Amino acid sequence: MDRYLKIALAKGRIALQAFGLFESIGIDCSSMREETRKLIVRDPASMVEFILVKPKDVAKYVEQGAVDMGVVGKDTLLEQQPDLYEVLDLGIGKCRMVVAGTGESREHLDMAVKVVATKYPVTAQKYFSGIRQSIRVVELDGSVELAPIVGLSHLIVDLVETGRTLKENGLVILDEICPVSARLVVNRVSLKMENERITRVIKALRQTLGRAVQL
Amino acid sequence: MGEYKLRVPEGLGDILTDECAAKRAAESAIRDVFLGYGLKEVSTPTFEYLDVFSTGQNVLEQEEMFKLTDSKGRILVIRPDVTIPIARMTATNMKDQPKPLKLFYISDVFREISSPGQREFTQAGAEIIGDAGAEADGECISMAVQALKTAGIEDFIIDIGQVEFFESIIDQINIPGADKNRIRHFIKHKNLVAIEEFLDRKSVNGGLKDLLLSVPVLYGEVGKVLKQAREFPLNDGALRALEDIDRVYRITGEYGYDKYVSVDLGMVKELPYYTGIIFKGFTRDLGFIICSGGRYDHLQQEFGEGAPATGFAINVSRVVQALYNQNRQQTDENKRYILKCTAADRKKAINTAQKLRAAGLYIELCVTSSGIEEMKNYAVKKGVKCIITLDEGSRLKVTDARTGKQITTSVPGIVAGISSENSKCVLGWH
Repeated sequence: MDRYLKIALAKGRIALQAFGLFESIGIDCSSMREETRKLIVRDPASMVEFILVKPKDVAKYVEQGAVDMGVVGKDTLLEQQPDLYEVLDLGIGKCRMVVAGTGESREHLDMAVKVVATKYPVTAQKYFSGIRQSIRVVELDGSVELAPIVGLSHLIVDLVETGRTLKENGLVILDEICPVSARLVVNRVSLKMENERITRVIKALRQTLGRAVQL
Repeated sequence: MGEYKLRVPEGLGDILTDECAAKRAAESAIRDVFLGYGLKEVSTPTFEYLDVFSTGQNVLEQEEMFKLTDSKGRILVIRPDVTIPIARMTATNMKDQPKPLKLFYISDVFREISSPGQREFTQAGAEIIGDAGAEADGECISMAVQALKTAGIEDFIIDIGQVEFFESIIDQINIPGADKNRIRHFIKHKNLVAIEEFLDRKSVNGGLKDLLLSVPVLYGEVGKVLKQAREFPLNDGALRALEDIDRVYRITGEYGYDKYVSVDLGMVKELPYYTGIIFKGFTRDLGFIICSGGRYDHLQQEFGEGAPATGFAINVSRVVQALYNQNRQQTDENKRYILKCTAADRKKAINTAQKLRAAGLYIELCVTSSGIEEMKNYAVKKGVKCIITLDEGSRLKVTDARTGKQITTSVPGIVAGISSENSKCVLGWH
């Protein structure tokens, strides 16, 4: 065990919840919680190194072997379709990918070419081509729910957790594309080269999650 | 004059001197291994008609290929792969040659979208055409092991699978092709959650469900995994696939290479043309696969001459990257000298340089009025260790560019220094 097992996490709430999971299997994350400005923190006892990155970047770090494992939202995996192993549903960061619009948007569903605002252009294109409809995508970086209100788009494809933001903006969910949660992903080479250590982590997490579900 | 004048296209890059030397050294090591197994080298055109690559098996997506149009409006493709052109070549120009054909190539290939960072890369690959047996698969894997070892890679694994294992299991379930693709995709990503959801939706239960949920985790040490797999109720196709893996594994053992081989029964066909044993190689300190290959028994038929075939390709560009990451890049610095002279003694210097070059040394001749101190600076910056200057008669002076230490010797003295094991350079550097 001369080398640290590297795990990339998305900064923010998901990371905090993930620390909880990793702590439950004996990886010390306290320095991670304390030194909140640091981007790389190690636990020498378990030889694990955590790397904090932007949510969109986790899969890239894992796919290209800069880290061995990562915790990443299913929404990002669907959008980027990275070449890696998706080994576990961690059951945190649960939400839904939906199509939403204003009250009148149902009529827009019948239009030949709809304008869809989203942070997830690939997912949006895939969904609409699946129901045999053409769309034009306006890719936005945030506050997607504004787009139909100000007339930038007819519809949006976005993540919703409680649906409150949509409601407050007068939008309704027209269809649910898929449920989303955080996944444990592993680099394809690491799973084989660091098989023993990674398998141990996966098994321990699976056990913890099994217990959590039973509770 | 545009903004792109100083740029190269993304995914392509200049290869500078050290990397280029390392790359050629790796290619040459791999070439020697292929030649040693009795393979013969071939080369296919840099671009070919699109039709060659538009096989019924759709190996390459159209957006992956760089296309050109010729003066008659025909679409050409810049070599995106070498196995397919070799299938064309052997089914046409070599169709009357005795089988099995054992061929290899070292070629640059071009992909419009590819693994991150590479739109041009070098493949060194081998193909055995006309041999349906495990012998050919075992030989390919053993060659891959030996080629990676000889190129200087250490601590690597060749992971083998057999596509018929999963394919014959999934054939037991009566679902449309699109659904098979989905579950294949989930198996490939070892996504147990999605597999379980999928099987529940299709009401697949009992032993078959347990088996399909185990396929992605049946990987690791060959003997152990085969034993675990045989504990499931398997159909004939799946059992045959396991026997095939066992046979191939035993051949690698006869070469003494079984310690490099592991198995992954969850390795499904990523290229539709694979029909049997498939394998991938990877190494420490590189998150990418460095070689891959497998059996493709139906590809030759696409070109009108059916023949079983198996082969693999090593991504040389990635091997070089791995050697760099593992700090194992080969250098030729012990063979490299600067021979400094003035215009007045140039003729004698050229004569000396030619003798040293004939002995295999790399001599940069510097006809200059610069003093030795200046030359020492120049040599250090270039990474050359020694400067040779002419002395009385046939004697030569060799100066250490870094320390200034000097000895007097001769052409045979320098040559003897490089060839002797313990002192690779006349002044005893290592």
